[in-house]
Amino acid sequence: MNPARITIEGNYWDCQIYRGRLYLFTIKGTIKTVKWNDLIDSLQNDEYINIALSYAYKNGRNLYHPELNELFRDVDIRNLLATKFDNLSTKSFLISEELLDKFIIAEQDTPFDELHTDSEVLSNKLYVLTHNSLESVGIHTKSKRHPVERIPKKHFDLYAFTLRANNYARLAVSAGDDGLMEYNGSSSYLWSYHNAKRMVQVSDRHSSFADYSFLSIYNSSLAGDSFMSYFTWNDEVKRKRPERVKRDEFSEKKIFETAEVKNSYLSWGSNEKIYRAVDGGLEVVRFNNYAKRGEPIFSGTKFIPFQPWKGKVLSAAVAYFGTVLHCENAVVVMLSDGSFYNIPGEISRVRIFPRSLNYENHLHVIHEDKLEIYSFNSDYFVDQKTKDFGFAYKPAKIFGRRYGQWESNEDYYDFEDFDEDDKNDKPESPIDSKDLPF
Amino acid sequence: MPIITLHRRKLSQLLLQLGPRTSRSRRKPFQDWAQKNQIVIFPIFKSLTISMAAKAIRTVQVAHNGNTVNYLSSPKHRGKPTNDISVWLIDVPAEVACFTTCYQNDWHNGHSGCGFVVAGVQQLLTLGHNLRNPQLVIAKFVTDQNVWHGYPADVRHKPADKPLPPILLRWFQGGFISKSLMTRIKQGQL
Repeated sequence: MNPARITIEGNYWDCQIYRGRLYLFTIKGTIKTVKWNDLIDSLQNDEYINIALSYAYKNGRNLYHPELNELFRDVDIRNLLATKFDNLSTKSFLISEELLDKFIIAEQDTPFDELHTDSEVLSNKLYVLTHNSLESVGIHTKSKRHPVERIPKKHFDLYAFTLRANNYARLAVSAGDDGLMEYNGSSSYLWSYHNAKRMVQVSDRHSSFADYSFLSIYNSSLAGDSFMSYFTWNDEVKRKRPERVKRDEFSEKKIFETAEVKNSYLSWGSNEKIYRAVDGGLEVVRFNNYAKRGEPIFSGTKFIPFQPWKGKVLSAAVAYFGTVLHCENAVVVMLSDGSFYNIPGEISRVRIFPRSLNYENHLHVIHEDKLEIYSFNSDYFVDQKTKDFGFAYKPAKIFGRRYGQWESNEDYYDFEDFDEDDKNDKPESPIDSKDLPF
Repeated sequence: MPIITLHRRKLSQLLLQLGPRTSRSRRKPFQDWAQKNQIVIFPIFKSLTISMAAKAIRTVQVAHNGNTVNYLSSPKHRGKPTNDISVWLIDVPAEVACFTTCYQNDWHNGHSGCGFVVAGVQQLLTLGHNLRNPQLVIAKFVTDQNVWHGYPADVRHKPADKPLPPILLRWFQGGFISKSLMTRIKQGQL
């Protein structure tokens, strides 16, 4: 099944999507905040594909919903929806800069005085790696003129390459020879007294980029051996709050249990899947962070003789819909249904949003003169337990709140009643829980 | 002052002979050799130590907007590469030309700067290497006591060696690098 695609014209440096708003960082150093849901609604002019368009771009996780999933066991319904997604993929949606302007809440100067290195969104905050520091600003504010706060807060001075967040308000920071760092972005009052301890060095080994595998972190290095920093809950000491502790560090060789590989390009991992690109295919290992005593932490290596990429692999990431390889002259998506999708061209940045509630099927690809937003929808029809590419979907364990209860709609704000002065230029307060898992 | 490239052994021989204890007769053949190769040997060298003389002989002056700065081709980055020390693959005149371009285009902030050599359309020439990275395409220049020196920067390992964001943006706006290469430099993917 081919993905759906929306093309937005313009020269963009980075993008983020969060709670119904698309943030576009232009090469000129401005941020455009776009009403994403309204933009998608404006494209819904064909009754036959409206529902597919909505699920593809606005409410992705609805199709993973346990109740709907039961519905999908019916062959007719599955086929009907698959046909609708297929039809959607044949349509081309082109959004010119003039059309985009109609859905922009505001365009403002970037608060960081430079084109940042990397960014992540966590609990209404935009964390950014600048040239020599980790900074953050509030986003999703009520202000009409400044939806992104104007004054950044500096958290730590460091030179680093990439940033990746997890569901527990932690940010993995890859800092090259300075190693793998982790920043605690928790807004819990307990941490407000320990600001100095928020940044810790997880490992002093080289780090190009990293991603979370449940509690652990898989660190990928373009310079040498990649490794996994293995964390578990410390259940030896009984406390009110469980403590996450580092137990071990597993090198790539140990994980893949192979002594020598002739041409190994790169290894990467997220959640239960760890991949290594080698000549002729991919090696896959399944990881069990919660293995009990006697149980293996890593399953045996499975080799998949499948090499759709060419050239040097620059970075890689894992989402529900598959694993994404960013190569020198293309982006290759190996989908969970076993097929692959190739996006040719010199691509400057690739973004996926596996932690989000509604955009986990999105792939944002920034070209020299446009942004392409792909929506991969084949994973809804794939058995989550047996698939090789992409990690398995599991409903989030959230206590005290029903699944999907959070507001993500722009209608949440009543702009008419809001004072245009930016006196209250603050992010909207998080809904009850401090560290929401998206 | 001419820009010179000396074979290491020849340089050490030359400098030894130019030392204060060297007799005039022993100095003569090297003075002839220098003259033949259009190398200016300053009399002051006679009273300098070998390391100081070597420094002086490798230092050139670069002028821009009425300011003149000294650039030293550091012997440290002309020797054997290690994991941390990268060495030049281009010759000294090309290294000096790279610094001159950097300085005259204001690709620096007064303390450090960066440069490159174009190899084609939005392609950069390999300037140096070290034991961990065979292709270093960015030159980093730093100043110490008003003397600049440079080395091929390994941005894959050392994020601190990345060019400053305004400099990278100028390279992009000048059409020297693409947006994707700018991202790759920033994220240490070279």
